[in-house]
Amino acid sequence: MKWFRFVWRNATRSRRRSILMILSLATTFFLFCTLQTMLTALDSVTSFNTAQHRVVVTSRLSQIGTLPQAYEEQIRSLAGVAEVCGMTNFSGLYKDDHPDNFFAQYAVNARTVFDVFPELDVDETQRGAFLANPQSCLVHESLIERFSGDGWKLGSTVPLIGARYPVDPKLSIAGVFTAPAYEDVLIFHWESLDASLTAFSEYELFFAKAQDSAAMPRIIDEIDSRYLNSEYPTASMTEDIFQESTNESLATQRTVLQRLSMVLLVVMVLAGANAIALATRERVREISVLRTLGFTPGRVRVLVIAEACLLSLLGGALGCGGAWLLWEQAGPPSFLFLNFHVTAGTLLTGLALSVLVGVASGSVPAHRVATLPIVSGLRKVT
Amino acid sequence: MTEPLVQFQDVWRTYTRDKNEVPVLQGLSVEIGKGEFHAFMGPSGSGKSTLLNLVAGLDQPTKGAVLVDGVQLTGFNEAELANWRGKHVGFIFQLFNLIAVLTAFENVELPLLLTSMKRKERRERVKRALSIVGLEDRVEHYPRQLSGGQEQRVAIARALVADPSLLLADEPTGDLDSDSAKEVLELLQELQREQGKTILMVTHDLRAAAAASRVHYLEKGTLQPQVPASYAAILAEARGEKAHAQGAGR
Ligand SMILES: Nc1ncnc2c1ncn2[C@@H]1O[C@H](COP(=O)(O)OP(=O)(O)OP(=O)(O)O)[C@@H](O)[C@H]1O
Ligand SMILES: [Mg+2]
Repeated sequence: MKWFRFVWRNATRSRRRSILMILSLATTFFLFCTLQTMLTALDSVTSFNTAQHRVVVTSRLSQIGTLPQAYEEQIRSLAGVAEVCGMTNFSGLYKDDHPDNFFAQYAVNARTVFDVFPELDVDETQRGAFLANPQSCLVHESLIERFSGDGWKLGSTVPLIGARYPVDPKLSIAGVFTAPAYEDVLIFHWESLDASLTAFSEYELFFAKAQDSAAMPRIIDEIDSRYLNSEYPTASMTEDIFQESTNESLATQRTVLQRLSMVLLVVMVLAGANAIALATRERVREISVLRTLGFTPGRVRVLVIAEACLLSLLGGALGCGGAWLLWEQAGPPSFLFLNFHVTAGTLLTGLALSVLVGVASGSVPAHRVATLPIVSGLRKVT
Repeated sequence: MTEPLVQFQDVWRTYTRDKNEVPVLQGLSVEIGKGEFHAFMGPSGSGKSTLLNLVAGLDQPTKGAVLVDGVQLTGFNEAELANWRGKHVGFIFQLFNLIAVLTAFENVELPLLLTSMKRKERRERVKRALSIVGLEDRVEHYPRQLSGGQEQRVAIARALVADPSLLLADEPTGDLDSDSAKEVLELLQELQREQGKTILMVTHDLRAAAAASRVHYLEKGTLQPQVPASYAAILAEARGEKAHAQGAGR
């Protein structure tokens, strides 16, 4: 502790330079935290529950192709299939096409959805209310929060505007679920959608819950071979593979984000090293004086590195804190990612990295000044 | 002569500059007894600073041995040298070399931070050192708020706070006006007289040299048996004044 004041005084000796260094580090750490937050947001999209051993059946013809409703019953009758739930992405709008108002709307087979997706945690009475009213919907609590300004609550009505389908359903909120994987999701009755469209009777995909995971490869085979030569051939896969394939573009984004984060780290180390090198070069004589007083090379090294760490920790705290304030307090850009949250993990990583950046950027100048012959250091005029 | 504290035994120091060997010290031998105050004079570039640096272990001889209190410094590594310096040597520079961002108090405290001393004891030691140099009322001042003479006195307090037996001063009055120089020299004499410090001082100023109990003259890398005749007269005169004023010197 007796050294802290010494390090602090040295670190802040040139106020302008310290502030500049802290601010530039803060900026990069802000960007770093933001990128990391995007990454966690991506991860939360892709981290679906894979313990449920579900098979996803999609159209082989096109990614958004459809399958006849009749398949549902046929797949259910296969050995090893516990239950099947058809699902269609309604892709409608709420209010307008402003990104802030975007969320996912799935029309599902309400009779089986809770069997196939047991992780949907809706309490008994709300579930009953939902099943009883075909014009009702269930929403994730994140939507209730987001649209509390519009008066969203149990019993209120959500008017959707059809984009892909020419219907504008008015759905009353029958219940709320909180399962983290389904943030920003609304589900409603496929039957009511079907009823308001002529000659519809189709689903975009089916989720078939297998009795156990060992049966899944066989089920996939059976489904696909059964419909291979039909008008609507299927492409089936396990849920994780389905997630991966639909998230292939997310994976690329993730790689880009990760690379950007790495580049940022390198930039931080270089900028920090430069600032610290400048600061120590000016002090070569002074540090040589300290060494005549009995400061060992090791002590000098630790002090210079501590100084670098102090500055970069301040920068890191400012940058990470700024990211947290902006994205958590001032409101996340919900249009970018469904689950944009600055996690404690991200903040801790940022802070830990700021210490590492300090060590990395302080090491070289510290080593140089600690091993310079004292006599030459004393000759330096500053 | 008293027991020697510093011994130079046929010391050579050669620098290599642009592949040429430049001999600076050439077979220098000298002994400085415990509690003595020696001054070293000589033309610029004659190797005076080199000599002090060797005593402090800031530099190593090319040949020969430098012993301080019977210990030869050649075998020490950098960290051991640093620890040894912190305990045994106080350095005083021409340009004071105080740390600009620290107060007088904090500057003086620096050598004590290297010890396991408790905060309270450090405080007392620093205060005592500052009162020895007559600056107990300048504790919270920064170097830029002090005069040159005061800065040098803070530097002296810093040099003696860890209670080393040996004080090395490289032109301590070189940057001071004559009044401040006089104060600093009287302080050094007092430290020798009252605290038994052994002092090696390099100087260009004959009046400063007169404060020492012995004056050496360095030229062409060796100690001359005598100071130049022109110096001797001035030295004697300066000593006479001093002897008259304080009854010190010889
Ligand atoms: N690190 C070094 N590398 C090369 N030459 C050096 C080095 N240190 C000192 N010298 C040379 O050694 C000689 C003696 O230097 P030193 O500093 O001891 O002289 P000095 O007597 O203290 O001079 P001054 O009175 O000007 O301070 C000079 O010629 C100097 O250039
Ligand atoms: Mg010199």
